[in-house]
Amino acid sequence: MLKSITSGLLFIVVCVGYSQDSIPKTTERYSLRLGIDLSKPIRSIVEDNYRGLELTADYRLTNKLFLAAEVGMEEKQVVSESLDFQTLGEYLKLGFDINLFKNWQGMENQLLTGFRLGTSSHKHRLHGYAVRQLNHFWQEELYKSLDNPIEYNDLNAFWLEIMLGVKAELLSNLYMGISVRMNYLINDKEVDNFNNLYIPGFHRVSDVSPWGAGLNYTIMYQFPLFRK
Amino acid sequence: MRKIWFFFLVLSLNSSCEPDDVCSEANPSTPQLVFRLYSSSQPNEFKAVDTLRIIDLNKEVPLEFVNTDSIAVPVQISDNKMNVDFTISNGVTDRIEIDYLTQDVYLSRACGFQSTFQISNIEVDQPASWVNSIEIVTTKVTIDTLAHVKIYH
Repeated sequence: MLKSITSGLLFIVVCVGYSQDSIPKTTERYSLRLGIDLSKPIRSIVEDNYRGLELTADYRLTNKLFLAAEVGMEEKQVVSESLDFQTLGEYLKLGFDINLFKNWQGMENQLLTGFRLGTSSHKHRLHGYAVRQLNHFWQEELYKSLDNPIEYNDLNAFWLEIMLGVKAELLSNLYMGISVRMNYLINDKEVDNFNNLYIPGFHRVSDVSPWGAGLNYTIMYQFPLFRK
Repeated sequence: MRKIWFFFLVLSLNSSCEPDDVCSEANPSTPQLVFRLYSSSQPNEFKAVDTLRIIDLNKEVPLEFVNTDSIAVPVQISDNKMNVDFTISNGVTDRIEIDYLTQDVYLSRACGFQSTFQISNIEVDQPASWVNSIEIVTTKVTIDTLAHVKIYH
């Protein structure tokens, strides 16, 4: 009995001794990161029918949780056999990211999953359209090109994005990130005699499904604020 | 983690082939103007013709209807009036003049728009040879599964 008590006490002493030797508790940096989506300026140069810009920001709330936002503008012209239209507008996305990646001490890379709520303010300009006519009895031109485009103004949309991405610190405080997003259209303002076929920030809208997809490729600068 | 990646992969593959890019035959189109032929002696009864031909502007590809009391004629979308020559089997022709307003209605991404019409006036050139009289059933031409105009002969 006495033997077991003394060995128990010895064990506690040993434990206390070890814990005093252990590494001191590390602190983590809490920062604000501001950045730009590089894919949109690149597409603006490469594609004739596209102009876009997106600014991104995130702020670390807790060990794993980040508050994240994107704000941007897009102009996209879509030309097909049946339609020629242009969509112009701005958008804002707000949400949270969770870091799934366990870093080595001192490193701050992230494997992120999260969501955004997105909203847009946009308009469409219809430059031309084809009239669907199966019988060609009159042998007439079925494509109507509009000298004065029809404008569909004051439109908006509201959607949810599920996102997955990585952010890696390349140089001190300089991050590069890439993310893929699945967008789910919750609501969009009905267009009189047309449709929201493209929504800034949401991108292409399907006629048959509420799902869309997106991607961004960011370069961000980190402003460390405090440690805890 | 691997499951999440797979989920995104499947969805991105899905979005690459879009089912809304194709306008199939079954989708709505611009309606044709539908005439029903009635007997002038018994106005409640259909009366068929053996053969009815409509010659187009170039007199090349006529529309031909055989032994029928229902005739569908495409409407000229680039104008707001059209003259249609109805020729029955023994070479007897009557010209029908139709005035209408056109409104284009959005269909879908792949199908574009359809034209719909509002008939403002319809009459037979006088003296008429085989047509006795003509009557508008509905001025709105938005679908072509129902008759728009009755011809009594």
